[in-house]
Amino acid sequence: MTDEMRDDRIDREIRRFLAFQAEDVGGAPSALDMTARIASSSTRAGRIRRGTRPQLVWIVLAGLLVAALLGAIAVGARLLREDTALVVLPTPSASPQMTVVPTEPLAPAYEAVFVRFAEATGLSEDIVVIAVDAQGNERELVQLPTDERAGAGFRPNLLTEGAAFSTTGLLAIPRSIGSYRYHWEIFDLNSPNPTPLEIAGITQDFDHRTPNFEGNRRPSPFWGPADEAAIPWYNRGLSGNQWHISFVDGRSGSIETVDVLEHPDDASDRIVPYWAADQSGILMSTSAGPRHLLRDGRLAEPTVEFMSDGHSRPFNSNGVAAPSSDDNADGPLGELLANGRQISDIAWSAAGDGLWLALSSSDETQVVAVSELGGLVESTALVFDPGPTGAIRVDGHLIGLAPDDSMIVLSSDPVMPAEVGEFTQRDLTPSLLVPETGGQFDVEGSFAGWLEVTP
Amino acid sequence: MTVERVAELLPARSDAAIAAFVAEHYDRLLRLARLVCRDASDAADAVQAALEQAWRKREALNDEARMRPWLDRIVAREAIRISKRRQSLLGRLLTPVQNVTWIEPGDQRASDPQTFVALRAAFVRLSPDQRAVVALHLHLGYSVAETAAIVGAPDETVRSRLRVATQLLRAELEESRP
Repeated sequence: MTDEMRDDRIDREIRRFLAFQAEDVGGAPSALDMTARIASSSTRAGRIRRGTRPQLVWIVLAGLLVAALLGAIAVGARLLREDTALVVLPTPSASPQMTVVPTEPLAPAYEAVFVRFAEATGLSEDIVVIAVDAQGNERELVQLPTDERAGAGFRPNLLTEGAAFSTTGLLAIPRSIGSYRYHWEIFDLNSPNPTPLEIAGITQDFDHRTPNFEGNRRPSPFWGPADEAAIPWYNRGLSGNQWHISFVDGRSGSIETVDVLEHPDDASDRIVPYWAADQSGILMSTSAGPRHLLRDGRLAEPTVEFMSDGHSRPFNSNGVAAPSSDDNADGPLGELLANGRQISDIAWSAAGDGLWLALSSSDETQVVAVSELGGLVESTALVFDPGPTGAIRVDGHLIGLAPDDSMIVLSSDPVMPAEVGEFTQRDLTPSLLVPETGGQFDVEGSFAGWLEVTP
Repeated sequence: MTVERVAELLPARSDAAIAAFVAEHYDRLLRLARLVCRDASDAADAVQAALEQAWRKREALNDEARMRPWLDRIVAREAIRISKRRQSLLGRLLTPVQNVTWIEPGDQRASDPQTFVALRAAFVRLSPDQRAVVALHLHLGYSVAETAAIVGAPDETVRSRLRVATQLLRAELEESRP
């Protein structure tokens, strides 16, 4: 890894931290409260009515301070104390994130597609799309130049983590449109000189890239049949984010948008990357179970077949969720759990009759393993040995599964002991695993999808 | 809840235009201010100041491309001012130390793949001016020149603040690694 690549990676981690930190606004007034404040002040000759806290309280406390001068030593000690902050994060339980379940016969072969920056050209802001085969060989698919219209100074590396690739060669990627806003463009990488197809109707502020852009979570668009993409997005409302799904034709750019829910997060509803095989809509995980979100916005029982786009598989083609490690599992899964193995992620196998398990390492097991649990056949890949690092365990996350299960993109996540209390420190490193051969290749860049290739 | 519905619920003197105006800008500005202030209530005060000014001058700033940077400038500068006040000798004496943020297991952020205690500790050690340029440049994506215009400092000063701040954050992040 070059210094430039390492710095870029660190910068990405810093930006992710900033996005997290910026969302820590608990205690702030709601938009509705703020509206009332603004409305009130607008009728009072511009008098600002702020929150009730600061100045008067200071004056009172200052008086108390004068009376407490004898405690100056203790106060001085406090002055010298660093104002440190601690975020205590529980280790997330194994939770299915994305999905896949092909409805087509298995394709001949696939390559994993990643998006990264060029360095050989010296144009560090050029975006390079690469494909990696099962032997770990990388090849460059295309370079996309810096967007010259990014007048607001966006650097493209802030947005490339949102790129999503279809198996037929279409790349959906967010591009700056200035004033820290972005829209979506689609490039057909089958062309030697692809030109952008701009998607009208979806324009978001830069900070709206979360949550779909965070870490190694999947990108926003998910590709479905007939080169159509579904893009979840939101805009702001006074009482929360208002979510929409846009169905975009990747060839023509035509778009249909439906409103989904005002608060999918609060309502425990979640859009998952599954298309109905008949293109009638997508799968949505709700508190009442999986539902079929139709193109007109209605929810229906998931009676049709569903397919994923290669980013994990929490549901099978019938919309059935993979078992959780918290379930009272029986059979091979139950045996694993009974033997004390920690399962950090679960996905359906391509055929939907088995499971891919990402197992946590521990002092006892020493490895992160990916195992297929079906027919009692277990294939294992060594990913990470926590022994020398001091990590208390290493979690694996299935962030990509090839449509034929021939390759897996796994992120390994060391969980470190904290100096104070416990916390989870995440250093997600994508690795391409080939279960059949045991191959394991670290790849720089953001995983974007799979490319179907002819052997 | 739609903007129209919220407007109906507001006092009679309010109107849908204010509701729409706040809905358009509040969330983004609050996040910016939060990065600078480290305190959500202070951040809200900074945002309120910006929104009130912007609302009074909206006729002169009806161009969206001008409105947003203008709002960010007010918020950033107000947030810096408040944060410096908080960090003053008297402010530190009188303001309770807020050094722990707890996140419930069910909190959406608990599943966020990237949260660094070390980064947070380093970030709060930055000066308000440094946090502002980091927030504007790395989080909101402004160029150095635009960041300099927003905070009212020369380009070189902004570059220097960014360099020092990112070096500290990088060092803290690398040190925290095994």
